[in-house]
Formats: sequence, structure tokens, C-alpha cells
Amino acid sequence: MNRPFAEWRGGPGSHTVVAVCPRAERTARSAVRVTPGRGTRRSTRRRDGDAQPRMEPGGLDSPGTGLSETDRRQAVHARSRGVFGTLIQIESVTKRYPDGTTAVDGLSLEIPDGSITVLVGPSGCGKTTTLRMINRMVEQTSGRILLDGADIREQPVSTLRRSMGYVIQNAGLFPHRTIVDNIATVPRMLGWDRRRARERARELMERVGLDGALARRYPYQLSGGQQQRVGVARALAADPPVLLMDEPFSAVDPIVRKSLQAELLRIQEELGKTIVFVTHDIDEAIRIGDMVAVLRTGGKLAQFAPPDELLSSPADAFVEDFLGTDRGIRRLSFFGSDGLELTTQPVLPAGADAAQAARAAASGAPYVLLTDAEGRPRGWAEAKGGPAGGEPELLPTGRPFVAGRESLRDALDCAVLSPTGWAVAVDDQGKVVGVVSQEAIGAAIRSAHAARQDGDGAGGADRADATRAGAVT
Amino acid sequence: MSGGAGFFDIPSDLQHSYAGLIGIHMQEAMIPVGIGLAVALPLGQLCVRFRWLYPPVLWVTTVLYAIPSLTFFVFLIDYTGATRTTVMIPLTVYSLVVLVPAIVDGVRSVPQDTLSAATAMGLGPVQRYLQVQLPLAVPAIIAGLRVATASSISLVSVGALIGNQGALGNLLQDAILYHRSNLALNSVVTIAVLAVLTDIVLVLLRMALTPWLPRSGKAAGRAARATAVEPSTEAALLEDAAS
Repeated sequence: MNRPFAEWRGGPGSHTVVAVCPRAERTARSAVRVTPGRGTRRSTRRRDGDAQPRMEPGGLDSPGTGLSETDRRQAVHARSRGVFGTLIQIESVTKRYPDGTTAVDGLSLEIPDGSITVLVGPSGCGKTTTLRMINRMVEQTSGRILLDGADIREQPVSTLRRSMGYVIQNAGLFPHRTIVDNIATVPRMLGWDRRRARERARELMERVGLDGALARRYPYQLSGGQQQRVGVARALAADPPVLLMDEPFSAVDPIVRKSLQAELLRIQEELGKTIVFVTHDIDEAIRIGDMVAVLRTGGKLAQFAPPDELLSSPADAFVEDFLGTDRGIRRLSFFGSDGLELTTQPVLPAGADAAQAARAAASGAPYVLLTDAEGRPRGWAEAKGGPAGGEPELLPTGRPFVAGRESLRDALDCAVLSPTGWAVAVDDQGKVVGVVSQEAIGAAIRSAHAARQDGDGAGGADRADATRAGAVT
Repeated sequence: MSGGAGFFDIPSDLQHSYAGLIGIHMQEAMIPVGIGLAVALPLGQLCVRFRWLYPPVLWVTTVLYAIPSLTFFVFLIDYTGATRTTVMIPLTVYSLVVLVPAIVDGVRSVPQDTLSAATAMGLGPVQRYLQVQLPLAVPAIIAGLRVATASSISLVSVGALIGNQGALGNLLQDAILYHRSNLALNSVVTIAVLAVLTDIVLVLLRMALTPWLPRSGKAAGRAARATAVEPSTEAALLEDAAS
């Protein structure tokens, strides 16, 4: 599966580049046309000469092979656990500047193939330096970095850099080029003709959620979030196997950041790049990372683990402190809500007769949930009063959670916010499927923890489910 | 010749028509600016690359600028004679004092993010210079060119001192010689008009070369608002509302 990457690396000289472009473009086209009927397109792409070696069948081809979303996420997670190998290997790398400061100190990391690895830490921990050593914008003082098994210094630096997309804070767009020409920069350098490069750029604009009408605009005419999307599109333009992202979303406001993160996860699900992502924001790291490397000041690795593990067992006081105080709560987003025992007894559908009302009141719950004709929650009524004597006074239900799709954290949040202490579970259409008390959620959390401790492997996949689902919606 | 001669009647000793004088004047003014630019571009780039070089370069150009053109003529006339070349050499040197800082500032003003992005995309130093730094320095370079050109156009007149090499400036001498004050007026007004017209041409050139610059505060605001409404996705709307 590593062979095509070797093509990328190729020998020195321009003919390498020429050899790469037809493949890159073909991949790009088939990759972009996938939107609704993905499955068939995917197989086309594979015929094209397994252009995307890092997409293992369970990950990318799942829509075509009938695998569920969950299975796909499990595959993504499995990848991060080393099942699919290492693409970038950082071997005891040190960067010391002439003035004596050590930016990175003896760092060793194995960055897994086809997943998002986040480097996170306080400022001055050498995370950006590490990232820049991967594409040789910074040369390490000692140690070595292997890309697909070969030292990155073996190939010409420009070839190396063109095989890695690079996204930075503030996008770093070329102000003097239109959006479409910004995106087409690398394809043009690889020798594509202008028309083809622009066509590719327009496809990518669509992929990153940019209106095609913006193609002829200049960067100053775009908002910060839109510019950042252009930055991502530009990095993806030549379909590089590796994407380096240096605090790409930290200069935009929280709402935009959230949508950009979701977009990145969506794109990643489609493309399965090997992404190295630098951030100082631990929440961002946990949200998007398949693996998270926590670095401490002075450029030493504190912990390298999947986010779930990071939250459950921080390696030391530094990591624990860096994670913040509510890591227990946050970890709940890695547990699916499908194990919750929902009850429908206190649920009273619209037009229920007196007998049903009596049964609901007798269920022991202090409140009953009234629903409308479509089965959507209307509000809580006191169980004692009963609906018989006209319209009872209703308490708001607050935000319901989507059973199975959202995490235990969401369920707990709903229960905490609910005036009755009961969370309402709905299906994808918003129809009530049951209610659950804080106590029941507490029990579910305890048993989920216990299960996780017993068999870490099986439960591990939940994290991807829960967070990703939450992220994308 | 009496005072009755017309405004545009040029004394025959200048051996040129009014239009001819304008041609020579522009030539004497613009060739030094052109050569100055050709020298200043690499010099400026060197100053950007080697920061230590900039202060001495700036020092030298400023000192040269302080030398009066007459001194230059006295010095040069042994080598290049009473020719246009003798006039153009000091003008070239003078243009450097404006152009070198303009280019250095222009190239330095390119955002670090943009440069990093260019480097990360595999652009070598030469490509980066030609494709990113130079185009982005265009507004600053043209601002420098405007100053250099205006000053060059007015300074050409000094060439009259070394024997009719001052183009329109020669009219000033003839005004004294023939007691025709309208020749002096002609010289001054024509030179001023030439300077203004050249300046307008340079501004138009800049606008043509930099469609990517916000036109004005108002226009930029309009463009931003137009963009804010257009994106169809909900997320894009959200982010614009937030920004």
C-alpha cells in the first residue's frame, strides 16, 4: 500500500513531477464527484490505480460496501490505534537554535497513516517547530524524520513540500491572486495547464463548502472563515497524501471555528489524509484528533494517546492540568448513548385516553411528558394533576438528545438542564423514543466506565461515533 | 525675433520643435528612472535578504543625493562630454534614493503568513520573489516611481547649464537670451503638465496591476457585505453574522 507514495517521492527532477500529475488529477476528479452516489465513484477511483492507498476498505469504501457510519468510524479509530501503520516517523528529533534555546527536545512520534494527529501544548512547547520540521521549513539539529520509511532529506525539498498540503493561521492566501488562482497554485507549479488547474480549483471550492461565485474574488473580499476554507482547498489542490495544519482555526471566532472543524472532519472522512494538526486548544485537539500528542514547554513529549485515553488516564500532573478540571465530563462524549435504558411509561401521546393517563401517572415518575400529534415533545406535566381537567401547566422540555447518535455527555447535559431532571430522547426525526432520569444516566456512565476498563479495544470505537456525530451535526 | 512670436514658437538655436523638446525631455527624464529601477530592484532584494546591507546602501544613496547636479556635471564632463548622458547619470543616481527604500519596504511588507505559505508550497527563493514578493510590492514600488519620476522631470532642466541639454529647460535660458518671458512660462507650465500626466499614467498603471487591492474603504465595505449575503450554506451565513 505504500507504493504510490514512493511515486510521489520519486527521483529528483521535473519528470517526477510530471509522472505524478496525471494520477493526482485523476484522483482529484473522482474524489470530488462523489457526493451523493459515493460508492460507485469510490470503486472507479480504486481502478484508477489505487490512487489513495491510505483508504483502507473499511474506511473509505464503506458507503459502497454497505457498512454503517459507525463501522466506518470504528475503522478510523482502529487506524489511529496503529492498525494501519505509520506514515511519518519522528525519531528522537531535537531542534536547538544558535542562541541556545531548545525548541524540541528528543521528540519521537509515530504519526499514523490516514488519520488526524494533533500536536497540542502551551506556547513555546515546540509544536509548530515540529510541524515545520516535517516539511523542512525548519531543519532539525539532530535525529531524523522518516516519511513512509525514507528520510525526508533524501528528496528535493520542493518535491517534499508539494507532497504536503500546508494550512496556516490566517490562511496566508496570496492577496494578489483570485480565489481560484490561489487554490490552483500547486497544480500550476506541477505543470498543469491553466484551464485544468482552475477546473480542479472550482471542484475543491465546492468540496470545502465555498460558493462558486467567489472564484473570481480576491482574498480581501472574503471573511476570515471563508479565507480559511480557501486555505484548506489550496492545501488539498494537488491531492497530497499529507496535510500539515498550523493552528488553522485559531484566528476565527468560536462559531466559525466550530463549523470549520466539522467541515475538516467531513472532508477527512471523504479523503482520509494523514493530517498533522497543531493547536494550543485542548478542546479542539480532543474534538478532531484521532491521536493527540501533548507537548510540554521545552519541547518534550508529555503524552501521546487517543483523546479518550488522554482524558481517562493522563500521564502526569502536567497533562492533567492541561486537560482542565472537567475531563470526566468531557470524556463522556466518547461514550455512546445507545446503552441507555429509556422508558416510555411516563410518555403520554397526544389524544391519550384517561386510562393511559392514569397508567403514565402511576409509573412512579413525578412528571409525565406530553407529546404532540407527530410524537414531538410538548412539555412536562405534573403526574398528580393529570391531563383530564383541561390543559395542565407545562414545563419546558429543553433540548432533547438523539438516542444512539449523541453521546452520554449530551444525554447528561439534557438531564441537567431539564427542569424535571429527566432527559428526553428523540430519534432523527425529532419523535420521542423515551425518557431517562439523571439516576439512570449515572448508572449508565458507571457501567460504561466498567466496560471500558474490561475490554478497551471493543469500547474504543464509541469515542469516534459520539464526537464525530456531535461535530458533524 | 521680437516679443510678437507665439507661445509655442521655439527659437531656432534649440533645433527642435515644441513637440520635439517634449520628446527629448521625457526621454531624459524617464531613461534615468528606468535604469534606476533596474538597479534598485536587485539592490533592494539584496537589502531584504541581507538586512545588514540596507543601512549602508541607504547611507550611500542619500549622500549621493546630497551632491548637487552641477558638481556631477563638472566631474562627468571630462568623461561623457556635454551630452545627455552627462545629465542622465546624476538623475539615475538621484532616483535610487527614492526607489531603493520603496522596494525594500514594499517587499518587506509582504505578510509573513503569505511567505510561509509560499515556501510550504515548494516555491524556491526565485519563484517566491517573482510570483509573490514582487507583485505584492507593486503598490510601494509605484509610489516610489511617482516621486522619482516627478523629481526627474523637473530636474532635467538643469541640463541647460551644460549647453542645451536641458530639453524644455533650455527655454528658460532662451527666455533670458531673447527677452521672451512667455518661453519661461511655457517651460514651467509644460514641465508641470508633463509631471502631472506622467503621475496619472503611473496611478492608472498601478490600478491595472493591482486589482486585488481594496479600492477604497467604501468599496471594500460594499464588497464585504455583498460577500456576506451570497454564500448559500448555513455555516457560511453563520460565520459572516459572527464576524
